[in-house]
This record gives sequence, structure tokens and C-alpha cells, in this order.
Amino acid sequence: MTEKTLDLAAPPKTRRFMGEAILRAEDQELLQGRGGFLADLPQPDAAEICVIRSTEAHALVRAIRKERALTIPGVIAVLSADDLEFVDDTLPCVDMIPGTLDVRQRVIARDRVRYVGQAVALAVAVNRYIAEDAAALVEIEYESLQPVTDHMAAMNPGAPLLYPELGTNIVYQVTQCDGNADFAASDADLVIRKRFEFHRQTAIPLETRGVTARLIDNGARLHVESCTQLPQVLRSVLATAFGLGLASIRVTAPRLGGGFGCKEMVYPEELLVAAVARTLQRPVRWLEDRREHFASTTQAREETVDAEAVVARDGIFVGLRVTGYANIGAAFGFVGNTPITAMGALVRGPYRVPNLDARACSVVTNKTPLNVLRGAGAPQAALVMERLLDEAARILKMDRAEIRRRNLIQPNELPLDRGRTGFANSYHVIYDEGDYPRCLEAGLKLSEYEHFEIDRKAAAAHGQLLGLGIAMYVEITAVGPYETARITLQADGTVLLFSSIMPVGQGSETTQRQLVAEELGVSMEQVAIRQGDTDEVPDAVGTFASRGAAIGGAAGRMAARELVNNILECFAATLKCDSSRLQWKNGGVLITGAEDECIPLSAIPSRLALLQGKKEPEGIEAKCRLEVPKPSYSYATHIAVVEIDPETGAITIPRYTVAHDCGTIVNPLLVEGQIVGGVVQGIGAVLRERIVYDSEGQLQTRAMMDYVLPGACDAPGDFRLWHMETPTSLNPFGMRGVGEGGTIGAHPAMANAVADALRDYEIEVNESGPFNPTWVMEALNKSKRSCI
Amino acid sequence: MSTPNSTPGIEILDDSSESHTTLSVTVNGKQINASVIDRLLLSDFLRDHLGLTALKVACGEGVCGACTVVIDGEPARACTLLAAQTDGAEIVTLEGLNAPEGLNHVQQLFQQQHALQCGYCTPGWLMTVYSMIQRSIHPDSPEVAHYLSGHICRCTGYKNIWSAVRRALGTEIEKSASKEE
Amino acid sequence: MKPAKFKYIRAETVEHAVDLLDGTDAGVRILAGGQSLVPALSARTLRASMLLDIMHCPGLNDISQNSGTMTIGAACRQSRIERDSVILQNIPLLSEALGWVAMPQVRSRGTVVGCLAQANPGGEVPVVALALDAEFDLLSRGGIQQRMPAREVYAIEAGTRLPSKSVIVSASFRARAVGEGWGFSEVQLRQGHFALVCCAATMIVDENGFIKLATIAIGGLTANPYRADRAEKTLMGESANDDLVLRDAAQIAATERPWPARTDLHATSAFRSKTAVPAVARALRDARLRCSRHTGASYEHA
Repeated sequence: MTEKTLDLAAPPKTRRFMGEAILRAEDQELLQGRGGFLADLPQPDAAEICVIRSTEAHALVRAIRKERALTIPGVIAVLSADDLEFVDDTLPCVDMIPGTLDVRQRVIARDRVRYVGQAVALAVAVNRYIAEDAAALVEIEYESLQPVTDHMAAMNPGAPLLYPELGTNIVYQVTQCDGNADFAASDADLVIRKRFEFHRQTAIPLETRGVTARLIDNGARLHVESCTQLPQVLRSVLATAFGLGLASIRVTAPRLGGGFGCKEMVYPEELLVAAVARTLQRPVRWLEDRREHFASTTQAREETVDAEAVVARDGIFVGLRVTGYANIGAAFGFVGNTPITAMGALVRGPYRVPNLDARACSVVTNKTPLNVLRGAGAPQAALVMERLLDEAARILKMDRAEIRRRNLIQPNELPLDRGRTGFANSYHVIYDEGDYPRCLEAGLKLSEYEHFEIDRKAAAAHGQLLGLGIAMYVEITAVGPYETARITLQADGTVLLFSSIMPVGQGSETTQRQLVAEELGVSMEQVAIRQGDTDEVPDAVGTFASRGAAIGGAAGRMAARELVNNILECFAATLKCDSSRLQWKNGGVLITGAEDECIPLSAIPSRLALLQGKKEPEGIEAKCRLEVPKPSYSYATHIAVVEIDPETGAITIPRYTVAHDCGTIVNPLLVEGQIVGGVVQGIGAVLRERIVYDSEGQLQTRAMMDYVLPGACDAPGDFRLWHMETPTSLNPFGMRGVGEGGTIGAHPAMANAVADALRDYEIEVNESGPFNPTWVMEALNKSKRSCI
Repeated sequence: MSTPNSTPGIEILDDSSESHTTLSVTVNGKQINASVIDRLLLSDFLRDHLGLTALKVACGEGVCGACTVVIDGEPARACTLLAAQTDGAEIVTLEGLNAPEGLNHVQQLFQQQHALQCGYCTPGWLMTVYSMIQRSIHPDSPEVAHYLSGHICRCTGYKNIWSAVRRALGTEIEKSASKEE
Repeated sequence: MKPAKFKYIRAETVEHAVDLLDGTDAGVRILAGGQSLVPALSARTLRASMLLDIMHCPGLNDISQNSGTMTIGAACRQSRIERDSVILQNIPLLSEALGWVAMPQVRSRGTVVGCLAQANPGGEVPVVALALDAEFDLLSRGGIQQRMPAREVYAIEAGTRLPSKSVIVSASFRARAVGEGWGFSEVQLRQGHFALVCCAATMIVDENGFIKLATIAIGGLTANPYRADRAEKTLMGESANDDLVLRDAAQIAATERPWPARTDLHATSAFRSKTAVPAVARALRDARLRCSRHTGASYEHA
């Protein structure tokens, strides 16, 4: 069911691909097992690297003894910091604002390690088996230092310091205010104060990371291949790291087996593998195994948020104060400060809440560095607001849907400037078009909210606790600052799009081809796409923040539009005719005159060659650089119904409803896939997933049996989805992003549903859980009313 | 002092020679005779020695299912087996199930139902579905949940995989029913 | 995650394996299905100098029936036993419990006896072994054979008391008596994951529904499983149809644990202790249900 509220602003054309559930052509390769992932690419001449990682959470490195390791046949080298040359050995962080202390990570530990898993040395051998043998024989002498893992404790004076020269573990601070930040409660108002805890998670894409590096062009250039969402960024970083020109580096990224934000990062291994290739003058490869992945790939979400809401007796939220403390681990991730900054930017969601005082800080601890994970701080922001709403409703004895209605921003108030955020470029969050009230009503109706109390009673009769949780959110999508695309009508008459967007599973290849085919009026089969090679796409921003289709795809479509212009100009010049005689129609050039002539796209190069008297047809190219000054804001209503078995603590999800708006939808099949996949990822996060460190900074979750992901039986029994399409005026084709929304909404919807299921037990749910059976049992035991 | 991968308690004679074992195995109908190092994992034998890279190593523990192949008619993990253990066995990988051109029936259903996104886990699922079809498992059987619980997908949320699998098992039931008529 | 070096030997006979096991090298291990051993070797949490593959040894693939017991050879795979109709007829408790072991794709390679030897906390097969008074046939050097009851094998908090340098050749389970009911219950975080707590129970009632015999074995609550002897005694002579009786027995069974309850990443000891009670009660109710049915080749998951 799809509703449109505005007309598309596009050239008049039959819509053939927009909004169509086109099956993915890339599935052919994937289903036959020929996906060409990094580990699948043959590298018969590459030596294999095993990274030797710190077993200490916080220690000085006194000595690294390599002799025993070097005696093993098949070992090529054992390298540490002294053996590798870097002009600049820092890894980038793009959200450092003025006043931020510099805790960018160094490529390899030199005299100090700050987290278990940090790279300390590298063993290089003819195969990974022997490389691991060598790694086992490298002896590292550590002088243990006191670790600190709890971010609140790390802020206390006297806490162990990760960077003693900085004198503190608080490395980033930001404030965001809106309206009257000094708002006060009147006597009649309700003041709700809660501390929210968000547990540590990790992305676990099925594909672990990997990097290969080799010298090419007779040693003149360096080619690095990596599982990255940011090949162009990586190229810049490599250039800086080795003091090379951009032209002497080529980065390629194959398709990714999932990313979810953990591959939106420049990792130590990417620079180290390159350094090894340069030092040893031979091709090398590193494939991350799952065990090391738990420590070596960025983690996410861990933060504490103190929130204070002032609510009038009619349920209107007057103002919100939030202070967020992020546990960012031992060093900055590429966008490590983004999630906590997003708290202030997004906490109010679709609700007016005119007054805001939001503060946030990042605290270093002896854990793996933190970076973004699907939602990038929005799940936490939404959970804070949504729990406060439910709490206010409870105290005021108001219906939960009603309190939301009263606070929702109305369509005629949009666009709405929510104030200047703390993000590095200080941009304002300005909600663009939308209809939040309609979205709420649609969700309530689709989930049969009105009948829920009947369902609850029926479940209670069987001893089961049924709960319903409502949540709405607004998320930042389709961020800029720009994106590029290049398109070529090749000599053989096919179209090739060079894209800036990496396929990570979202179907970007199909979506972009749909957009181009739509623009050109040709069939999908005539459009091919390539990406991930900096030689072909030197300048791009990358794949993250739900921008692939909206921004990357829009850039591709605009490039196709430019291609049409270039083709028409070419014909005008060749035929020396007035451009008024030329139009683009039905996938080809229409030349009007005494007799109209239509030249389909596929025949254009050969026809032009003929007309120009050239032997060989040539290609025609076009480029687009799409400037994106403002992100757009997708939003949704999520309604989760959970069933809790008080005897076993098990939680199942009989029904899950999403009513969402991501603007113009290109491919509803893929959109649904993103939403369902995101929801289940969010469900898994709050039900069972948890990264665990002990107080000594030792990582306890090191295997898939430890970190329990959602399985096939965890999918909601009944999944209901409703699309609303309010095109955004910020995008030439009305598109917003949709990749993260499922996960964002699932966190607060599930927390609210669990709290609702346990409402008779008066249990505080001010956290993201995980709500595993032990949590449920302890909550029931703690409650004032026991369940015996 | 620490050695990253050492295990206390067992004195291992770390002699420098790598021992080998002969292996005779049928892979996708083809007889393979090889000499492999004793510690070679089956996953590495299939992927690196035979170039059969459809199966993926995504956990190394036997949990995620991405390395699932069929051994002597049953789905099994390639990452929790030594190649040497499969002497005399018949192994089928996804490459052995691919149609000469285009997609086979089950693969088509997966595509139609959008039962894959990044595709990394997909070959494993297909091997399990193949096994379920070989065993004529009914789409409504409780065994379906057990088989599917042997795989992790991080992208799809499983909903579309259930649809594809039920259809695959359903059409097989229809096919065999119509054969009997 | 590649294993360290070891020597792999395909044992020709189980005697051959025993001879190789009986050296001074503590790093020699028996390899059956490998579903626990190989991942541990890959993660290098376990080392071995030599692996003795016994899967091709003659005589280890048999299922045999002798006066009231079913004997399963060391090379019998879990999936085969799970589906075997003779097993289903005679030790249906094992058939049912096997459906809870890991996942079908692991059971295709793992062996029943391998589970017994590994004694992983929460392992389902050792629990059944205790409930069915299983005995393990061991072979040591010089052809020395001995029989060791499961009770003795698991009589410590964790691990086994199996003599080092011995190989389990087969395991024998008490076959179902006429009219005997059985039940197996398990609490898992997620389908295919470990047992947080599990219970295997059997029951025989007289014509008036009074309990003549009951066995209760609990796994997962403690590292090794245990028989709830006290709880079993309280059931003798009681009415099987009284849910409160079963519940009380379950309570006793959970509290009579000989070792501390386990806490790990997945659940606390308090959770396990609490959930063990309804788990045991469920297994007992299933056993009661099956007692009262005419014995036949098929049964339902309760």
C-alpha cells in the first residue's frame, strides 16, 4: 500500500522503473557462489599476514622478541613498529571539533597498548597456518598498567589515564541547545529524571575484513584492496601515511558481505598491510578471522544518558535536558563521536519539545575503539525519548498514543529547524517534508492497536505477558557533502555507470541501474555498473548514513541526464542543425524534420561514427557532482508486540508493525528488505547481543557462540509494513535513505514493549537491555509484585 | 611476558616438519586424490586447493553455516572438519548444484523472494535447502525450523528466506506428488 | 583460526588407536566427529600432538541390542542415531534429546559417543546417559576392557573420570521397559544454541497411576549433569497425576545439585536454578503422558 502526497519533479516520462520491484541482477553471481568477495579473489603469489595482538588491555610494551618465530620454515618476516615506515601513522577521525583532544589511533602500538586486540606486530609467512605458528612464538614483554573499562569511572579524578599527557579521559565535549536551554518546570509540571544505559554491541557482518596489497606498474604504484565502505577515503589516508601522491595509489574494494557501519572506518590493518607490501616488496594479504574480529573490528553503542524531561499536565513536553557519556574505547573511530553527538541532534524525534539542553562527551577506556553501527546513535536517542513518553503517559494516566499525538510536529510546521548540532560541520538539523501524525495513525491502525488489550487479556489467561511498544523516530539520511557519478555510453552502445556507492547488501547496483534506465528510457539490461576502484572513481564520499540510493543514485541519474544533453549536443554539432530539432524520446534521439528519425541509444555511437566519417565508434561521457548541502530526514512508526514467558524469561515477537516514509521509493522489494533486516538486527541487539569485557579489560565475547545473534526463529511471526512516500524537496528525485531505520525504531519499540509487558511489575526499563532471560527473571524478582 | 597463542599444560614437540596425509575424495562427482597437510581444514582444502570458493568461512566454529557443504548426503560444516577426515567421502558444494546456465529452481526462488542481500551466507543456505529436498522434508514440518536455525543471516531478517525455503520445499512436494499420480 | 601442527593418523583398528594413545605424549587425542575438537584446535584453545581418527575402525559403527540395553558404537553419527527406528523403539529418550544437540548440520558429523567423551557443560547426551544408567565400554592398552557407568564418569564437577589413555568403544543405554514413559526438556537462548538447563526423565507407573520408578537427570545447571536421586525417591509410590507432586520433586531435583550452579555469558546461576524447576516438571509431565499410552513405534513431541 503506497500513498503519495506530492508529485515528482522530473522530466515528463513514463515511469517504468521507479517504484518497481525489480529483481536484482547481482543475485545471479551471488546465488551461484561467484560473488567475488575479497577472500574469494585468487592471490596465489601473496604472502599471508597474521596480526599479533595485545593480550593486555593497558600496558607498556617493553620488548618484542621475534627470534623463535623466525626459525619456523615458511616464515618470511616478523615486523613491528620499528620495521615499518610511516610519514603519518595516525588514523583519521572526521568528527573532531575544536577543543577535541587528539586520541586518533596510531597504526601500530609502539610503546603502549590500550586495548586487547590492538595490533603490536605482524607475522608474514607463506600461508596463514604458518603465520599463526610464528605469531604464537613471538614473545612480547608487557608491563601491565591499571585498566579502566567503565566510562563513568574513567571520568573520575584518579582514574587510570589512557593518555597521561592529556591529563583526562574525557576527550570530546559538545553542546547543543534549542529554544530556551534554561527552561524550568513550573509547579504544575511533571519532572521525570532517568538514567539510561546502552550496552555495547558489534556489527558482525558475515564477511570479516581483509586487505591485500601489492606494488603494480613496475613498482611505481601501490594497489590496496580492502573490505571498505570508503575506498576513496582510504586512498587519501594511504597517500598521507606514506607521503605519496594520490596518483600513485590505487584502492579497490570488492563487493562487501555486509558492513552495517563497521566497514565505515580506516583500520590499522589497511595501512599495515600496505606498509608490509612496500617494506618486503611483495604482495601480501590479511584475512581477518572471526575470533580476532571481535577485538579488532570497531564496536558500538555503549553510552550512558542522563535525561530530564519537563512535561506539562496535559502531556506536552516543555523541554528536555540530556547529558550523554559515550564509552568510545581506546581511540577515535572514523566517526567515533557521531553517535553521542546524535543524541542531542535527534533525541526529540518527531516531537516538538521546543526547549533542549543537550550535552555529550566521549570518554576513552581500555576497550576496542567505538565507531558507528546501523543507526549511528539514533537508536539510543529514540529510546530515551520514547521511554520518557511512556513514563509520562503512565504517570499522567494518559493513553500512550494520545500523548504522542499531542507532541507531534504537524505537517504545516515543516520544514523545521531544530537548531545547530554539535557535529563537526555545525550543520543544523532541519526536518524536511513529512506527515508525522499520519504516520503514527497508520502504524496504530496497521498494528490493530485498538484491540491490543483484548490480546493482552487472552495471553494472560495462558500465563503469558503480552506487551505493546510504540516508537517513532526521525533519522538523518542522505548526507552530503556531495557525491559524484560518471557515466559512459560505450562504443558498443551499452551504458556503464561508475558509481561511488559500494554494494554491501543493500542492492545499490540494482537501484542505481533502475534510476539510470528510468532516466534514459532504456531497459535495465542496457545499463551496467562498476564501483569501488579509485582509478575509475577517484573522488567520492562513500557508502554510509543511508545515502546510497538517495545521493549516489541521484548523482547517477543526474549524470545520465547530463549524458542525454551531451548526446544531443553531439548530434547537433555533427548534423550542424538547430537543437530544437533534437529531443530525447523513448530511449533514443529523435531528430525531427521532413522525416522524423529515431536512433535508439544502442545505435548512437555507431551512427555518430558514420555521420562523423570515423572508422570506429567512440564513447560519450558525462559526469555529475551532486552537491548535498542538507541531509534529509526519514521517519517511521514502529509498533512491537512481545510475549514474555515468566517461567523461562523467553521473549518472542508475535507481531511487528512499521509505517515509514523514506520519500520516493525506487525499489519496494529492496526497501522492504532493508526494513525487515534492520528490525531483526535491532531485535537481536536488545534481546541477546552484548559485548562483554571484564573489569580487567579482557574481552569475554570472542566467538559466535558467545555473542548470540538473532536466528531464523527470531523473526517476528507477523510483520506488517506500510509505505508512505513524501518526496523530499532536498533531493532531485524525492529520495531519502532507508537502510538504518529498521534498527533505529526496533530499539525503542522493543524497550517500550518489554516495559509494557511487565507493567504490572512496575519495572524500570531505562536501557537497551539486552532483555535476555536472565534480565527478565531478575526484573521479575526485583519487582514489588512477585509472580508466584 | 605473554605469547599470544600459547596454551599452557601440554608440551608440544614443535618440530619443523609438517606432516601430510593422502586423501581420496569425490567432490562434485569428480574423484580427487591429494596429499594434504594433516591440519588442513576442509574449508581451506575446498576453497584454496580446489578453487571452490562458493562456501564461505565466516566464523570457523561451525555456528554460522556459511561453510555448509553436503558430505555423504548430509549437510555439514567444512570449517569444523579436517580435510583428512573426509577420505572416502562424497562431497557436494554449491558449484555442483549450479545449472549450466542461469539459476537453478531453488536459486530462482531465492532471487524472487529477495532472500539474499549481501549474499555472503547464501551458498550455505542453498546447501541446506538441497539436503532438505533430498530428504523430502515437508514445508510445514517442525524440522524446517531446526535446519534453518543452523544458519545466520545478518542482512535479511530471515522473513524472505522462510518464504523462499517454504516455496522450494512446497514445489518439491508438488513435484513428487505429481510424479506419483 | 588455523590449528597448530599435529600428526593425523587414521587408526586401522581401535586397538591400534589405544596403542598410540598409550605413550608418554600427553597431546595424543582421539578424533571421532571432531565437531568440538576441531574448532578448539582452530582457535588454539586446545593443542594436540597427534589425532587418532577412529571413524574407520571396524566394529565401531554398530548398533546392537542385548537383553534390555542398546549399545551404540563410537563411530555412530548423531544424525543416524536420531533417525534410527530401532533406537526410537528402544531408547526414544535419546532420539528426542539428539534433536536438541546443536544443529542438524553439526549432527551429521558428530558422534553420540563423542558427546559423552567431551562432556560439554549442558550437553544433552550425557544427561540421557545418566537417566538411562548408561555404561561405557572402554579399551585400554594390552586389550584391557572395562565397563564404566556414566554415573562414575560424571561424578566430578566438570570433565570426566575416564581413565586417560582409554578409548570409549561403545556406550550402552538401558532400553525402555514396557509402559515406561520418557521426557526431555531444554531451555535454550535460541534454537540451536547450548542448553542453559535440560532434563531427561523416565517414569513407570502401576495400573493405578502410582509411580513405581522414576529417573531424573539434570544438565546445564551445573557443569556436569547429575542424577537427582533424592527427588526420584520422593516420587516413589506417589500419584503421577498430581502436578504438585511432580513440581515438588522438580524443586528437590534442582536444589539437590551436588555442585554450584553455573554462571556464564548466557545466564546466571540464579536463572539456571530457577528455570531448572519448570524444566524438570515439564520432563516429568511428558514422561507421565507417555507412560499412559500404549507402547508403539511412534510418539509425539509433547
